[in-house]
Amino acid sequence: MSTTRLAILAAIGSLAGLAAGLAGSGALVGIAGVALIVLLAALAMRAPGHPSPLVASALVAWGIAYCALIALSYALHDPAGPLVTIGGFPAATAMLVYGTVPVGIALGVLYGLAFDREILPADRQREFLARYGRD
Amino acid sequence: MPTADSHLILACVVAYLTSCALVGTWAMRRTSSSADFFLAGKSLGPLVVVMATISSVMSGFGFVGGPGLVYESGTSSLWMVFVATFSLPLAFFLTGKRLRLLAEVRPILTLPEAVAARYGGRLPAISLGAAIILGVVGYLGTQILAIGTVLQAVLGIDLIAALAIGLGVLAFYSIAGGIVAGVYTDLFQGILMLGAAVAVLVQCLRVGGGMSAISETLWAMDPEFIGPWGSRGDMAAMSWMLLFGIGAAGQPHAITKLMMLKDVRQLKWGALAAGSSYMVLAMLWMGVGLAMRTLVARGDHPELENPDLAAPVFLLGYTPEMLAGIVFAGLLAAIMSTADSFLNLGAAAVVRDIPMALRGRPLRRELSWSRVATGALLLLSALFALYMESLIALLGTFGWGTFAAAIVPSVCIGMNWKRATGSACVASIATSVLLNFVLEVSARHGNPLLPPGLAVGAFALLASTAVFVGVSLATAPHNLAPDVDALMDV
Repeated sequence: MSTTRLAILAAIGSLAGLAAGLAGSGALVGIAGVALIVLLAALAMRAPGHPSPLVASALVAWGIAYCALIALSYALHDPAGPLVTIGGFPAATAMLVYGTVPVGIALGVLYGLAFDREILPADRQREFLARYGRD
Repeated sequence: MPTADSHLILACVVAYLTSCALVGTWAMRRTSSSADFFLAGKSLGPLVVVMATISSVMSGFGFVGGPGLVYESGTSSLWMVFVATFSLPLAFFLTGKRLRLLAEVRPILTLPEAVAARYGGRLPAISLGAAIILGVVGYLGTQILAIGTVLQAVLGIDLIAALAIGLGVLAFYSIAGGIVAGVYTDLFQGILMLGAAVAVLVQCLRVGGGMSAISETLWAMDPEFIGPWGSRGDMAAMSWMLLFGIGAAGQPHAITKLMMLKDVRQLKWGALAAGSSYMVLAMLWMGVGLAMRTLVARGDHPELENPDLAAPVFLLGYTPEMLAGIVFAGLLAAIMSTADSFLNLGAAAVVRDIPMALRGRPLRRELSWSRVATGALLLLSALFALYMESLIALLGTFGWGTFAAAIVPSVCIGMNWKRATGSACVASIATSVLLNFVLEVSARHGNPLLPPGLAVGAFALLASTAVFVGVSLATAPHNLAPDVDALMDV
């Protein structure tokens, strides 16, 4: 997908987020936010031949996992019911603490793993600096 | 703030201030040019950059305001801080490679200069420089007031004397050593804060009787408080997630640090290190707020007059003296590291960005003028903070959202999308400043224009992103400079 298409999708995601916010839907604001994060990360990685299908799939999977945790938090939250805890926190809050934190960290792991092959291949860096570097 | 009547706490804080002055003296010898003053000569290793980034992002708000928010409304604000696990990596994705490589091929030291290289023309750089100055004055003012308040509590002296001591140390190391002094004090501060956050979390769990006991108490008090969205509800939680999750990439004091790396390849694991380290700091934010509220709910402590007292009251009343001393030093460190980053950004905008955009060349004797501008900005912000407190509070509040909504489109998207135009850059920055200011002022005057819970900054960020893309598509594209064009294909 071209960078222009990704940017247009980001704009559509932003407009959807604005509409969700004005309509008072927190869940949709959250989903729009996660979609925007995935689109921006994909935009940043876009270069000829990149991201590869594997990394693009990993980004999408990351977004789906984060949205699933938000959905689970809604589903498990029952303020009228008895307290059910997971790891010391109410079950729905445990999704935030024990779910979103490791899933969030996965984006940093993806950056590190994809760095040499997808984010900044050494040959592209060399080529660019050889042509435009000041030294 | 309660007064810390303890020699140990006093000793920790004095030791911290002395070490800052020593680092400033050392850094002065390593600062011989504007490139050293503003970008540390692009000579820093990954550990220093990661620590400097998280220290400058975790301001006094993180150590005082954060626990206060948890004390007041439960888990709502955890959506601001837990997102750092991915928001800081996202900043690396969006800006790390391109800004650092741009600094390799062009003599750029600041974000507005990067914007000038990207879009050409004067207006984009002037707009961003002006937005940065506006945000800097507000942020600096709030940090200055916080420095005075903390030192007042620790030293037991009046506000003016406390400010004179705190700002004297800050002025010395920021003016003498520029960003070199800033980042090396940040390194020291970051390590100090990480250790303190873990120790404080352990103490919070001990005082509360373990996490399950804390949850039981708070669930009995109000299930929403300890539920996934906290007392402020899902709209606040989700819009904070959006604003802070994406907006971190738009904080100039954070992303400028990425340009200081010695080698662009050192970005590789920096994203993970920054996100994970910040998460450790977030433990203090969560732990203190929940523990203090638990103590009040159980009747073991009277209700606090002000939620922002949660951290100092807990530290002084429920932690060992030595740990309280370290955290108070860490608190001061957090405030001062943010303040020194903003002083440096502000000085760069005044001495370099605006003159470069208007005259096309830097000032003569730029380093000397940078030092003068740093001192003048500090003095000006201190006067604003003392005599125009309500204006400073307003600017401080809208600082994060303004930076996010102005810089995410213009820099984060613009550096990655060739079709983006200078007109779109200016339009998105104007949208950000206007929306944040108007919506914040109307909310403060009891006339909120947005639905309950929807964060002003999140709304402005979404609007400025849509405006940026829309105006880019509606205006004629311009030819990119060959190096910038090639950079966007790397």
